[in-house]
Amino acid sequence: MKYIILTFLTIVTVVGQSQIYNFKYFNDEEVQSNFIYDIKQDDKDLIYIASSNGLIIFDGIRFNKLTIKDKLLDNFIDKLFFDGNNKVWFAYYNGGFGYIQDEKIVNLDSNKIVLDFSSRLNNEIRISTERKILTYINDTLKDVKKIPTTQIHYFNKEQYIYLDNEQNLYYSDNNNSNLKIFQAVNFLAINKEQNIISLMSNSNLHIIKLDTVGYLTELNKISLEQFKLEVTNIDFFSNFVEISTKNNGFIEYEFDNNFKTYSTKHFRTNNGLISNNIRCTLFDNEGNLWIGSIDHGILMLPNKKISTYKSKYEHQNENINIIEEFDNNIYFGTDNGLKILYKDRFIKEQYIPYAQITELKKHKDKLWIGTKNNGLFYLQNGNITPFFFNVPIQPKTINCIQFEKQSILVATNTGLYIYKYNTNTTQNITTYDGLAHNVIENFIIDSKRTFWFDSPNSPLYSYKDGKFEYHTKNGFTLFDITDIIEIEEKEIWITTSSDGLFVYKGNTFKQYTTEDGLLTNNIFFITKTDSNKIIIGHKNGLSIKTENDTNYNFFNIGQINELEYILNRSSFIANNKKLWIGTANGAILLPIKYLSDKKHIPNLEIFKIVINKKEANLNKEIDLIYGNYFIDFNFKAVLLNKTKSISYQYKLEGFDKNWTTLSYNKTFARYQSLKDGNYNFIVKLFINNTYTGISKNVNVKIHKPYWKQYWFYILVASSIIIIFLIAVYIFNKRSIKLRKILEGKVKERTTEIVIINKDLEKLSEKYLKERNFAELQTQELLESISYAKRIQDVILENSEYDVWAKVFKDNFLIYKPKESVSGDFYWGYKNDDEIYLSIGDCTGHGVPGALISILGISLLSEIIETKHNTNHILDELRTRIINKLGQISPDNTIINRDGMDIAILRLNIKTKIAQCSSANNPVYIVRKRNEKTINNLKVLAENKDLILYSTTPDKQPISAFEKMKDFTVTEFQLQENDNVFLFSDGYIDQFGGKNDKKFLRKNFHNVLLSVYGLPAAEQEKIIWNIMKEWMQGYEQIDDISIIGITI
Amino acid sequence: MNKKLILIILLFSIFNQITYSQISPTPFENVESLITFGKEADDTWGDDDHSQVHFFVIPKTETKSVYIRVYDPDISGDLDTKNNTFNTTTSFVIYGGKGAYSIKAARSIDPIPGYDKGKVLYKKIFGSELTYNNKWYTFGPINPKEGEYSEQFNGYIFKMICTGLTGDDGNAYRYSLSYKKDRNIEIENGNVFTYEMSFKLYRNKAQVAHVYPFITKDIKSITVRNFDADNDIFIRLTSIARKLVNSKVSLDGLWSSSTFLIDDKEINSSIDIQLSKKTNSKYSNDMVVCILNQYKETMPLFTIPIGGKPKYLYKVKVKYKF
Repeated sequence: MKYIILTFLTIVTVVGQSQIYNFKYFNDEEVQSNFIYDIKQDDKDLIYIASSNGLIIFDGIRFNKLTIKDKLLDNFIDKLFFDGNNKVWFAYYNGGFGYIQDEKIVNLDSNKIVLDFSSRLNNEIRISTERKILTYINDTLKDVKKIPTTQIHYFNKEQYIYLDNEQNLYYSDNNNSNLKIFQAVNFLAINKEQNIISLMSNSNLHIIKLDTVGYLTELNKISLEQFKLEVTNIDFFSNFVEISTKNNGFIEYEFDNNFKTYSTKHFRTNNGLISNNIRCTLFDNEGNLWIGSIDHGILMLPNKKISTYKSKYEHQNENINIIEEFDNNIYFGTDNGLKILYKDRFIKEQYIPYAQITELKKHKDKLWIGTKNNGLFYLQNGNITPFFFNVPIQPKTINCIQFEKQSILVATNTGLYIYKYNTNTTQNITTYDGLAHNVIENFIIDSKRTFWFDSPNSPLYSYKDGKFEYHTKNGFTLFDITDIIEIEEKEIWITTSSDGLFVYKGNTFKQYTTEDGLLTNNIFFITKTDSNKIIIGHKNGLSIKTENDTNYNFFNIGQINELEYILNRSSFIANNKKLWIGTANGAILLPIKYLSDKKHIPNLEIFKIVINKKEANLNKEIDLIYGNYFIDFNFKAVLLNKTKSISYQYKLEGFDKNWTTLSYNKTFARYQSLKDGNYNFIVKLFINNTYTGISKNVNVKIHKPYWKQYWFYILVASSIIIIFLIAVYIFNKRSIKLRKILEGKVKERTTEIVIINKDLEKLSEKYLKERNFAELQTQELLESISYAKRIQDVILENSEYDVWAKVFKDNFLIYKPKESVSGDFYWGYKNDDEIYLSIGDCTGHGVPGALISILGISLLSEIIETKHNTNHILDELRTRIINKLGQISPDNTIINRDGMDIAILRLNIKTKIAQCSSANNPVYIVRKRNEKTINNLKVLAENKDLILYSTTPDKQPISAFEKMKDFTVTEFQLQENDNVFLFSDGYIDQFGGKNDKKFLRKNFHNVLLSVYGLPAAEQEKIIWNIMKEWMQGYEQIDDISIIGITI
Repeated sequence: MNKKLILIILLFSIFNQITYSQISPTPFENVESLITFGKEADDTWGDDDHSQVHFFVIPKTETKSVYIRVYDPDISGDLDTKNNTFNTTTSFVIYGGKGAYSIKAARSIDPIPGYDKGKVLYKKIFGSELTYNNKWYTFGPINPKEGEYSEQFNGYIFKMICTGLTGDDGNAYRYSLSYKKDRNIEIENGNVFTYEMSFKLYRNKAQVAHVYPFITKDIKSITVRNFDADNDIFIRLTSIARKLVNSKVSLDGLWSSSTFLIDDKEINSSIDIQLSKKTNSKYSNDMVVCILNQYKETMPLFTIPIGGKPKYLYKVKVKYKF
């Protein structure tokens, strides 16, 4: 096979792999303008873009477009200038200019066409217009001079250059030098920091240095004639000159520090640009390159320092396993053979067709090439030759090649081959000789001639002086080794795929992980520069230890997306300046000088505070009177490229207890209903979730309401005390006055009392006399009443009530006067076969009633002599009462109504026919239900056995009455065992019981029904006991009289 | 004539109109090309001031970038007028911004001070190289907003000044306003006009050239001026109110003019000023024409007649037979 390869003709074909740049294109919806005229950045890292659709400001997240609505005079902005003093100046295409500061637009002119802005000193801006130069200083705009100049650039206060309108470049200073230094200058840009001018003149790029005494030195001149460029602009940033063209993209010249040598890159649509029509460029503070195209909006080349070299054809993408520099060329060992980088292209050398290159190592005049399954080759003088060891078994797979004095040592899958040039002998070291494994994936020889081996499934082991040693760390073996190097001839650095980094020094291992600053513990390669800057490769990033660091502190650079498909041991440093890294997606080139721990830290600021929807002045302290406040704190840090890695934490001291969690997109904090107090709002900036140490704060003070102020308390307390004292004073004064008045009155009263006492004594004496007299009279009166009672009792006894007792065996009489003498009376009379019985209730009770009762009894006794029927008896009784008491005056006016209510009953003893008449008082009869009903009597009550009948009394008393009528009579048949009751209303009207009520008629009915059939004495007892119980605690209000007889 | 044929001709005419509407000169004008002579050329060659100004109008609603193309801008090919040997350079300069159109001097028929005001957007000098012989040279891409906004035209105006810098040859060329840099795609509602046209007539007497001034209501009369017609042509006016009315023709190296009162019917329409050769000739006739109003102000000559090509409206006399 190898012989076939030997005879294979070398064919060089241009496959055309080239470098592609990953421009970031901001689409039309974001930027809203295809036509870009200028790009600048301010010291807050904001990017300003001049377009014909407005002034666009990019803060790393959003494009904010300012237009006429935002007080621009015109949307067409074609020039920008940052004066280094917080102002970004802009010029309108159709005339006029102004500046923007803190997002506020200030227009200074609306007519003049601006050719250029420059700053002479930090606070003095020069504006070149078509006809004159204006100066803006201390907020005042004035004309300076009329010079036909298109551009003017100040290096310092005295020295400046300017272009006239015929494209001649002049140098001038305050010593009145005015030197024409160039003609036909098409474009001009200056590097103020280094006092260097770059200009285009007649298709040549000139780099010219201006020294402090005014001498100009041309540092370089580059002909661009061959490109036939239509240049649109030149930008000069640090050591870079960017030449923008129409139809040809833009060309970048990167100069060395002396501007003597340079490298060139030409950006066009065929390597990533979206348009070949470029107007302007800008390097921002992060090193990103912004490109403004004439007709396709704005692009950005992020991480410009990283270049990617890929295959032009998709199917040709393969692993870049190893990289080496040899004979001024960079060689790439790939899965499909060897490739060489020539300028911007790969040229595939088909020396080893389809061979997977696993190792490249330069030694003297040869480039040694290890392959997988195809053995070992070397490239010398343009020819590739296979190398054969003089042993029977040749290694097929070469993993690693090292050199030592006169030997070449080759680690293979079949052990270690050591070839000695001087003796032309080969030694094959295998497991028989102590190797842990015949497959040696990697090995190095350190300065002490110790061999360090890495084999699969084997820990790290070394060989020295005939002995193999297996290395452990703290009892654990080092597996999954990805790379090994020696640093400074004293330390062996071993990287692993999951355990980070181990440093072997002084017979001990020390482990370094993410806690020591490594980006991750998954490491793919390690390499170093001659100055011992150590670079460690991870997926998507690098960890760096700088040359000066002695503490093994690493800083890391993350989010290098080009390293996503990084391969083990694939790094190579060319000339100590460039780091090459092989990946499965092409080769990455990174200038080492950009691997600095001097990271660009974005500028964090609290840029707006809104209090109750009004923007606060940030130049003053936030000092608020008491009130109800909604406060928004707006903050941001601008990170143009790695926008997603910025996050914030904030806290309002005095309100929040804890810090917020990390927020990525939220750039404001809102607080509502803040009360009085002192607050301190602090926001912290994080990048990649790591605190940068940068924070900003603002104090807010909300004053207490007056009622919480100490002076108010004092005032209130004082007021209270004063009021109290005044009150006490007034009270005392009044008291004194009152006391005096009272004392006066007391004296008066005392005098009066003395007088009164004397009167009282007199009265008392009189009273005593009168009392004695009254007592005497009372005694006499009581004696009179008592005597009257005796008389009444006698009269009653003689009223022949007892005739009933003789006739009716069972009868009772309840006669309970209210007072000593009663208004109730009872009367009886008997003649042959008829018996009369009556109960009367005279008007009033006590003595007056008793007197009328006596009259009544007396009159009845007289009337019965002449009258027979009960109704006639009552008629006559009434007539005589009226006459006797003179109740009707001669003019028929009733002047007296004393009289009585009465019921009179006549019974024929034989026939038991009863006749009844009554004035207001009825007569009750209780009969068994099963007996004959008394039809002309009213049934008032009944139970299952008994019926209580009642006569119907006339509703008129025995006295003068307005509607006096003749009394009526009722006759009915009584039977044996009927109970007949005559009564006054005293029983019914008596108050008592639980609820202080009258006994009432219906209850009386029930009582009478309940005692039917009982002996009269029992009836009397029960009826009266019921009343006594009813009346308990109450005073008897009227005379009570009840007659009860049993037929 | 076959109806289908008529239809095809009509369609072809329409197609041509669409395709070439922003080319100057257009088929409506039917001149061979525009022409500008080197500074050292005698007036009798047909160019009185060695300078020609054209204005390109892009509607204000246009947001895409546009291109202004020049056909055969160098001076050495078949189209150009040779005087002994080709030794002429001409410049083509495109102006935009404030003053490109609004300054009165820009609308002058002569290159008076101020006529070149405005922002220089593109400038190119062509000589006698054959690089662009019978080919287009493209200026752009141009942002429409870089022109000067004109309310009158409701769009942005760019000014192209072609100036004969050196030599004595005649640079014959054409313009195109296009969306594309490599072919002519018309700008929707765009237009091109000039106030004084220097042009090359076709040699064939059957070919009739046209210029179309538009008559607004304030125009009471127009004066048709022409230079160096060599008395070799007829100049006739046709409009809705007149047909083939003759205008005076200039002699070699001289100006001549005729004034015509405007009929009411002609207001808000274009007038067709026809220039036709009297005889066939071996050499082309280069001349200049411009139109002035009653105030002696120049009137724009549009590549597309506004309102369409004017047609004389016959007065019909009806005779009745009984």
